[in-house]
Amino acid sequence: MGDAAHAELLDHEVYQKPFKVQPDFEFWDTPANYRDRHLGDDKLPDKMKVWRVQNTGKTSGSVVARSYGFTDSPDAEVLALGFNHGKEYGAVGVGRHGNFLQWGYSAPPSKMTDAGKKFFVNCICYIQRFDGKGPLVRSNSSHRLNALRLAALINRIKDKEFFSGSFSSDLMGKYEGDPNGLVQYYKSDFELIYRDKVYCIDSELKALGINSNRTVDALQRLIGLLQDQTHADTARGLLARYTNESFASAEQWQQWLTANRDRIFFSDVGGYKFFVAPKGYLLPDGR
Amino acid sequence: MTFWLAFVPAVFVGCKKKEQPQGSGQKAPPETTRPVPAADRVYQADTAEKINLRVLYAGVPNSERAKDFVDFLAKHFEQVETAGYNAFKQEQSSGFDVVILDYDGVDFNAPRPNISREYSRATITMGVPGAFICSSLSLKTGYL
Repeated sequence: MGDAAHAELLDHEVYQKPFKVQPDFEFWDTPANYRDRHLGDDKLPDKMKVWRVQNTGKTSGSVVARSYGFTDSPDAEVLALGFNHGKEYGAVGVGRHGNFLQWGYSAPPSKMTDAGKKFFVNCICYIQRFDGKGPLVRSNSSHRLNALRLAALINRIKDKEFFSGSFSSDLMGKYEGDPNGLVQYYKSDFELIYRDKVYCIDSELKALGINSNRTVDALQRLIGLLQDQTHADTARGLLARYTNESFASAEQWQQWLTANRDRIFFSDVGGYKFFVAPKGYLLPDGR
Repeated sequence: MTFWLAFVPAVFVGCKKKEQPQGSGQKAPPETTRPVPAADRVYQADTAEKINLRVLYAGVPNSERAKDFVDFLAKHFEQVETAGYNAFKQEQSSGFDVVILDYDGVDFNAPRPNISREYSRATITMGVPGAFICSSLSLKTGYL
């Protein structure tokens, strides 16, 4: 990452107080790596609106975090998208995870722009409100979007061992020389992707007619199926796959869900599990 | 006690500047209520009023960069103290509102302070070394 941030997100309160951040905007050419890594079907614009956080004159030296799964838990949020020449559009230049705020820019204040200085001061004030609020999840898996990103690369990276932690040998054989086919395989059942050594599609959920593994409705359906002798064992196995709980009875599962429904979230990055935010952890707006 | 004597007037000023909900019809809270967090207060840009936060800057002692940061922070915050980045211990964060961990912004091989997963002080990690600190704690803000 270089000196700039994208102009998105300026409505966030971290740009409003204590100081109002009012950057000067510029339009810069869209980096080639953005197109290369773009997972959507839409076309990226030729130029993008950015603002300078600092003035080092360099196009590298600062750092962004990957965007994939960054916000799949309520303890993390993106505060600035970093204009970068290495990762995807949307990569995180300034972000928060729990009580940590990572400022990806490299320069000291004397080389920050006026807007950058105000943003930095605001970040110090903003993170203070998360004092004592450690992360709810840790990064111990990779988000399902990575399955798409890596599938698109199977022709470009010749070392097949590179993909051994991503795709089964069966899939690699089936889609050899056909990255688009492999991408489509995962896109078709995107909501059912999980990881078990490699990226998998949850055929058991699919067979039950449940079309996502990351909604609270899916959790409710599985708990309901515990009462159905035909599907109870499968449902129990799936609840073990997607939660860290191990209740003995359907009633206990239901009690847990009812008590925590408003605070349950699913995180790919946290391990493809449902988690419960502790009472009082989240701010009224869900942060 | 000394801290509170200095703190209450600043909070009072802050309360006056905080936006009030329209039509609430409620009386202003007494001064003895919990201080308004700095993040909730609105300061006027370019005024000399300092933000009532205690900031610990842990950087490279005697470096130009550390001086740059501390001079800047001291202009904006009521209390700014320093610590050494390499020797930083999380216990040093006690008594501060925010810790800033800063090495040089760019070094991929910078040392990493020993921070446990139980550490929960509001903390800013800076640049490439900061991203590696985050990686070592398995945070989403980490490198890669």
